[in-house]
Amino acid sequence: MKRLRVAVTGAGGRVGSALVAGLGGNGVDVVAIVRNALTGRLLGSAADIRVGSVTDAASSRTLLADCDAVVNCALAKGWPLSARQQNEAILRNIARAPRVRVAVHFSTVAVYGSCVDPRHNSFERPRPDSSYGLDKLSLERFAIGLFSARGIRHHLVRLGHVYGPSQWVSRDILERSGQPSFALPFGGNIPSNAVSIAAVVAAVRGLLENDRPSGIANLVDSPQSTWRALFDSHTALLGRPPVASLPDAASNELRERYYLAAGRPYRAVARGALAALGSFDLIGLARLEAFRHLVHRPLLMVPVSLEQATNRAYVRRKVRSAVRQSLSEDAAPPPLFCMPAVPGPCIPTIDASAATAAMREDLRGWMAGLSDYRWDLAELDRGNQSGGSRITGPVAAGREAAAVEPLTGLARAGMAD
Amino acid sequence: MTSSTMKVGILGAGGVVEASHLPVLSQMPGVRVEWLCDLDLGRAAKLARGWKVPHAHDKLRDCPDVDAVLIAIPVGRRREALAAIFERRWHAFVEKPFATTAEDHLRILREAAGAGTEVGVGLMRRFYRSTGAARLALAEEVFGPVREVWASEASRMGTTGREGSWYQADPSAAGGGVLIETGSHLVDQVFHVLGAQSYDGLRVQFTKVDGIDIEIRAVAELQRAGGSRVPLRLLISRARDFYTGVVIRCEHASIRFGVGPDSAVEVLGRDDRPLCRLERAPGAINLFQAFFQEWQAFLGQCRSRVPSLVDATSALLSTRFIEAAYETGAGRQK
Repeated sequence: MKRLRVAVTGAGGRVGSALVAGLGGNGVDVVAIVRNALTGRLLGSAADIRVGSVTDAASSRTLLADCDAVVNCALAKGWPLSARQQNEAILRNIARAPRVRVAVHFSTVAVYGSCVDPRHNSFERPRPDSSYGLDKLSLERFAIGLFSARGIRHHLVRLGHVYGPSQWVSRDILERSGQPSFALPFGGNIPSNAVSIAAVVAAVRGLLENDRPSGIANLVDSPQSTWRALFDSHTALLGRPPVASLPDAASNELRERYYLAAGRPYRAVARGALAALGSFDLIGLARLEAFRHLVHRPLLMVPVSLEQATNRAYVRRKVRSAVRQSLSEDAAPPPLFCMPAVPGPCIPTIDASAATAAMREDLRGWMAGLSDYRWDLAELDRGNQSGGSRITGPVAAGREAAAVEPLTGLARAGMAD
Repeated sequence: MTSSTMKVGILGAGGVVEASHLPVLSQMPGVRVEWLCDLDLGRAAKLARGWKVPHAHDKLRDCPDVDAVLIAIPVGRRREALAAIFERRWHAFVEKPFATTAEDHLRILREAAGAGTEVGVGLMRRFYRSTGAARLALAEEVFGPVREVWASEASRMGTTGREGSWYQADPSAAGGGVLIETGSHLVDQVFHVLGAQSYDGLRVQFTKVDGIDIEIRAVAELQRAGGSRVPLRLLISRARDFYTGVVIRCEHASIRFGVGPDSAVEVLGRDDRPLCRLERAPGAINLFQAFFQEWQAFLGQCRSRVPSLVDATSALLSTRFIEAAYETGAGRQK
């Protein structure tokens, strides 16, 4: 079988780095593309690491010259129009790479909205209620047009909420499970749109190796895990008790609030505006996702020449708001815990329980490191075989320290391996 | 403009100036930013236009007189600029890290004292509510004597959004790697909370990539005001995810807080289970508040000539500690 050279853009990111680590072998050579050499070195992988920007056409030509496939994990962020232009440039440069025949582009389940309300929304006709979802949906269309025109087999992956070592859902669960006030809506007994990083790697490998036709598909756990199962598996690994359940009545009320915000953004904005005006907190309004969603399209029309001035006006107001800010109450659980599970078609991947079992020890180790502040002091001596030395820094306190002599007589004991 | 208005110049037009100092200074009563100066005149001019700063320059000698200057250029490139600033008798507010060696730190203080100007250091974590609450609780010995301190700040550098020209990829400009960049905040925060007066028994281990430290583990013993001694365990990394926060174990309970301005200060029982939070301490709960308060403190110091929380002398111990750590650990090449 011919070897496949696969470029991973955004390789320094959490999903990208897992793909770099997991895709190689069995006929696949991985090319990790990062924008900074230091990030590349931190990948610590056997992959071919290339430093440069795929946003730039010339640099991209060199970076991707010998690649047969690209997995696009790169995402430019920032002001809507600049970010959109950069993300389109990335896709354009991938499509122009001379040898690329397969492209996997990561989109998101956020294109369906943060909390899909069956009365207003459907999975068949996505209706994002966040600026992030809007952008991703627009990029999907852009990508399909580009790749189709160039005859590149393409897979647009609507990625679920990724958990596993180094992934944000696991970190979020770790933090929430340490908050006494947190309770899972509906007890967590609804299917989630989460997906393990092991399943993501397996799914992408499948897309690259098989001749699956081009298209858009969801990527979530198979079968879909409940939030309760996910939380319990994480807390069990740390020996923590299960998180509490939010009573059904409170859960329904919370979900209804999210439905209203998603289905009737104008009403949510009006409510937010009234509250903001009442407290003169326009930044509170700007932070409202429904508001951001509404203004996203108009902002896309703001010329780049005006964006910095607009942004600065926003930042000025934000400073005024921040200086006045006082402590807020604990936030409600986010809408993803209330969102219905996405239907098919889903990208085939490994069984969720097998995926979870495969990364169990890595996940335990990673979470233990994040939650336990202690580390083994013996590591200090293991890493410094020439032994430690005692250094004394002179006392220096108060303004008169300016008269204290500089450090003298410091031992210069090398402690390197 | 009233006579009490402080005129401020800004040396350096990088990220922290654009994201934090300019927005805060532009909203601060009694302050007027007179000029921006950067080797990249185009960038300085662009920022100046955007924030209604009257002048942009690429040479310090061309800048008109001001009361105080923010120095926000890499620590390895400040020597000449500082000399010129003191020659013109401007007060200097210096972004962290203040200096790479104690000798440099002291030299700056001496030069400032010779010129009769004030010097402050941008260590805004001292203004965080969490820092203040922890410091207060320890000073009062509410939980008994301090037994040990664990401080760590570790997150794998994940995004690739940093271009190759990033100053932190150049140790001669940045003064080092993760220890001086992140550690200058964390070490100072811990020293400030504990009221550390000196340290000894420093042992360190570095992990380096391309000559840049990306992880450091260190142990030392701190001596606090009053003479008590406290073991410190420090871990700072951009190579891996690890616990991020400070845990101070006292005789009867522990306190724990994060490194962000909105971090809660938790009281932990003997088994490290959270018991309650210290909620109502004064202090900044977001970054803008912290920057605002540090500027208020520094400008107050310039007016009153009374040392404030950001007086640069107070950061000398942190500088010594970081210098000694670099001297002690040659590091491991990856």
